[in-house]
Amino acid sequence: MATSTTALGRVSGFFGLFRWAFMPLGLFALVAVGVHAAADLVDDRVLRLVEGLDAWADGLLAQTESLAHWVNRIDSRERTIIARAVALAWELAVDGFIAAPLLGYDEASEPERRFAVRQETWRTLFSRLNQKPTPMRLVRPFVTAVFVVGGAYAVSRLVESTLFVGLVGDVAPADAAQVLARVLGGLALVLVLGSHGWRAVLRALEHADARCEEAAKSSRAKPWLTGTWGSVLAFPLALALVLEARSLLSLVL
Amino acid sequence: MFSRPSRGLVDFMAAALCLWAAVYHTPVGALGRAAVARFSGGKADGRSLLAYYTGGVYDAREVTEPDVPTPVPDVDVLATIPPGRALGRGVYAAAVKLGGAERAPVDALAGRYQLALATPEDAARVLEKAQAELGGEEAAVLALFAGYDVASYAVARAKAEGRTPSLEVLAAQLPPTSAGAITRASQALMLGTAYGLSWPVGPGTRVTSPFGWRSHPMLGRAQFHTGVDLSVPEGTEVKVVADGVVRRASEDAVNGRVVIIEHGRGVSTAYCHNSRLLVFTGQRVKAGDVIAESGTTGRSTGPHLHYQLELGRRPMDPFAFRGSKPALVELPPTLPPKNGSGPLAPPKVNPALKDAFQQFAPPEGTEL
Repeated sequence: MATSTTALGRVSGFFGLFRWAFMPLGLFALVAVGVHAAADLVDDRVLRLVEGLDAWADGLLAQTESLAHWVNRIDSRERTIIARAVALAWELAVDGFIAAPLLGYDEASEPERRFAVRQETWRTLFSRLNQKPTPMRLVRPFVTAVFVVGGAYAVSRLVESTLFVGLVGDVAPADAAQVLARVLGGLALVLVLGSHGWRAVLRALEHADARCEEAAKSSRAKPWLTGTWGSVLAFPLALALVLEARSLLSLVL
Repeated sequence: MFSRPSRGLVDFMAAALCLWAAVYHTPVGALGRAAVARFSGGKADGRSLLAYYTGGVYDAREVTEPDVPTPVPDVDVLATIPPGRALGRGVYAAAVKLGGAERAPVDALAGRYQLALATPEDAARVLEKAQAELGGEEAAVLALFAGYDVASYAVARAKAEGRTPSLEVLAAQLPPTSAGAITRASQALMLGTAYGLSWPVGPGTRVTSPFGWRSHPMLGRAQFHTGVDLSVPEGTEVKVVADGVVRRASEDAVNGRVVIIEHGRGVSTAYCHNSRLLVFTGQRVKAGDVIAESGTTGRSTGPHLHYQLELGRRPMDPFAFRGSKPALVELPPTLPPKNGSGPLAPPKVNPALKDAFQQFAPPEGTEL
């Protein structure tokens, strides 16, 4: 038993050497999955909007004889493509604003932390959030938290369904496969949230705080307007996920 | 700010799971894979970035008209096929082309009920039994193409999330490896819905311009005709062919006063050139409701109804879903002439085509 623990410890220690690479990538991936889950929810609504705009534009063009030949230039397939392209652009933009800063996640050893020029902790970040609240400081951690939960849930569901479909039939009877897949899917959720969830949210706050501090020092930038685009783009997607939160209830049912 | 633990196995496992999900299931992951493939000289998969939003459900690229319209001799060309039989026909049309591993779940589910899926009526019976067990039509169709256990699992998960087990919801519960089965199920549901549509005008209505390439009567050049023109006098009641929601009720210079109805399962119908619209966008309509009065508004040479059917947002010939009649019809050429822009020569009238449309005689003196 002792040997086994040591071996596991050695393996774990080996993986620890590469934390600088896989932790930022894992955080980015988790939020990217959450953002995609949200974009997938809203793409139908984007299609409705595109169709409404197209009908409105057709009606407008039809009123002028010389422009009437432009009516119906965009067919229903093209409208679907436009709507999905909008959803894709929206998702990639939110990835850029919210997920990409997580690639800057950095860890320091205890001595490095002790002798750091600036002693940042989650307490100092929260105290600045409390004293100098800005839209970016408030919105970024919130939307990141929503995307983290959505992403972790999506990962858990993928694990569960992939295991179930892989196991059922030849390997295990349906009931057993379902229980096993459910347990492992739940474990994946706990693992991802426990390992990456809080780090992603704190890193988002750290990034937002740094940007706002920079803006406060700069003579031209305004802290209140810093990061507006990212917040404006990310907030509706996060809201769509919150409204779909009932799916999380399935975890306890 | 973050302290660095000396160990990393658990964090690595979590990161690996997140990366796996992102790389294979998000557009940004697809971009990353494409970049890696380009850098390493490998080949990226051909999945479009926009395909990550469809989930394989009701995707226009996957829809085809049934290759061999399955004849139902007792069903008149204008009669509505009852819903169960219509879905049976859709499932049969989608399943008949399958072979090997793709066909296995179909036969397994039929075998579960001591049936063989040899006719559309067999398919309707299998669906009826599966529906009774799984509690939904779409779940039953999914069971046919993905397997009973997989569909049952997806239904249980959907119910746990408090959602109605539609195919979109069920598909969201399954891994990407089930995409093929979901696509086949969506195709069957689309075809089944199309088979179940009624007809927008009464019997005895002549088809003045069928679906396919034609020389446009006003533009004088080759253009694909995406619906069928039904010659009806102005003011004729236009009835919606199935339950649905009005997606568009508007007017433009080409379609005139147009109504587009979404029937669900990727099926929509359009009714153009009306003189009067009787519905508004967003309104729910029931099969047989009068939604408009026909006319000759927009780009039209005379009173007629342009009726268009779309499956997965792809125009389809409505006659492909009307009983046994389409089997007699030789469809118009599927490609324009090589010089594309020039006017088409007047089409030679095929006797079979003429016979097929004979029953839709035009009112005297009606224009195209």
